[in-house]
Amino acid sequence: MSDQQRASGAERVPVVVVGAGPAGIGASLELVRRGLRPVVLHSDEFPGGQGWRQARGPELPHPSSSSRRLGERMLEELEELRSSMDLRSGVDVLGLYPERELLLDDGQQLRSLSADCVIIANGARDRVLPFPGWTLPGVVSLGGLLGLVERHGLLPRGRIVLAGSGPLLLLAASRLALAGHAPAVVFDSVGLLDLLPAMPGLLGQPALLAEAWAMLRSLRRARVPLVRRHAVLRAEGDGRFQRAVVAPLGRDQRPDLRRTQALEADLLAVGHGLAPELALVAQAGVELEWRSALGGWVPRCDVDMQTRVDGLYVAGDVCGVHGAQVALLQGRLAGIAAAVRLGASAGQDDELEQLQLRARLARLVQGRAGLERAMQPRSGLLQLLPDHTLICRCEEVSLGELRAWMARGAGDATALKMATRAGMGRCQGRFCGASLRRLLADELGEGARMDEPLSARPPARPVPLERLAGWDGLEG
Amino acid sequence: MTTPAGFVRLAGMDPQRQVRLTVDGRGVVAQRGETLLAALLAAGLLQLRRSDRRGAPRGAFCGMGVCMDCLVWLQGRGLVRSCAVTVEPDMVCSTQPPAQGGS
Repeated sequence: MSDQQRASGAERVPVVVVGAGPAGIGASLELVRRGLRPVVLHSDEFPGGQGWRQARGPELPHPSSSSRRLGERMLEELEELRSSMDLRSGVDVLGLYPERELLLDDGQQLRSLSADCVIIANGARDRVLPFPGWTLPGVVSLGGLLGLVERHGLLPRGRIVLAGSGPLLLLAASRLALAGHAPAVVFDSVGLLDLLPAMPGLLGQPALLAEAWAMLRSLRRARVPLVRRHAVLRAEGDGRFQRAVVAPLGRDQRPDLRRTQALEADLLAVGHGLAPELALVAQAGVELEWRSALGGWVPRCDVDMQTRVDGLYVAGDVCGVHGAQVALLQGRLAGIAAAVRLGASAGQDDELEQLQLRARLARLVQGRAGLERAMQPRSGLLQLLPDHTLICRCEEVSLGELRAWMARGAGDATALKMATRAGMGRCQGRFCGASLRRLLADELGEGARMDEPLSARPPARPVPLERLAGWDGLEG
Repeated sequence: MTTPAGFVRLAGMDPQRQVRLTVDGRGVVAQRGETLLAALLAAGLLQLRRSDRRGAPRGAFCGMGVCMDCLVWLQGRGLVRSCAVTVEPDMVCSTQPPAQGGS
């Protein structure tokens, strides 16, 4: 930023894309093609996001070569057009204020940036349900395990146990197996019978089925036992993870506490799918709607990915978790819509392209809702947790403390946050928010408006006080 | 087929790319271009910090900058997410809060 810009307050640009994963890349490419120069912000060192992560280590075999090829092709295209955009790496977006003013942290200092259009494509994060011992070193999320391999260039050794549900479970297991270090066992909380209702919808999704088949085959070849309808009850160990206690699941995925078994292991990776990363859209005042098949709360938007907040678009997993291919199409739609708004439309060609993109998107999304619904964690998984279970990792708030406050009349998520600081720590409720709400619903009944999203205020990420102190503020 | 616990570098160690770090006062050899988290895990540090309230051991959890459980103290920069920092030669970091007056 020049001194002049600093003096006049915020830097101002036509269009900002938040995120450089599949959706952010799709949006940026469409904007560049229409002669615009988007500012593309992302928190990582390399573009690609979690969907098309660029490995630091050597390439490992991937169970789905088609999705990897798509990622490689798009990253090449991004590289070719890089000089036509303003790609800023290592930038966290802390806040999104009225008039589309963004507060950015580049690791050195804070600055603000305003835009006529903002496309939010900041993706999703792991959904991990709490259990005693889930904070021990050696317990990681499934996305975390994939990240250690793909992003950090590490291969875990020793005995590895994977547990949970959703696409990352099979993907992580299969990548480890193909890398020559297969997990000792995989526990899936979803049974084959649970998947039956999703089958008719999936018949129209041959690519998805082929991918699942490839992952299952790699596990069979590596002789990895896939145990269905089981979950981790607790992780144990002295200063680090050493043992997982698992149990078979009954109705509503309630564990059968009489049939537990303990397994010695060195690493436990857990997770139940992904949840949209909503801090920014919630701050911006985008209306959210509850869609359990899409992973919970999602921002409401029209077919061109425009929200009801003027000039604000959403794309990719932030609007419901569908993976990289869908995210790319949504990103392209958002990019075109933003370009049209900025007067950089390609005219009738745009309308034709939008129609085609919408049709492809509809085909890809069709049938997925059934699968998502089948893989959703059920209420029984949380019902038998003991009181000493930490629900909020950051503020170390136990289930017992939360129950005590509920018994004293704390009747909604906000009251519990105020009383215990649950959800107010460094991760800003990203890992406990969903379980907090579900616990409330279980303890107090569904009638009590428990599904309201936790309120979101800036900063969306923690920021050192020195950096805040050195910032000249949003005033003026 | 059980191997010892821990993490190994997929690419192995390249002597051309060695970088020396100091972690909790001891020397650690890392690889240029890798993340600080990769260097710490490959050096056998599974526990990266103690929790603020209960002093319980914590280590990397999400690996993508969200959970804040891989925070370490980096000389000159303060508390950082080790998963989001690339190693540089002669970095000095600590898994415990620095003594009074330190950075």
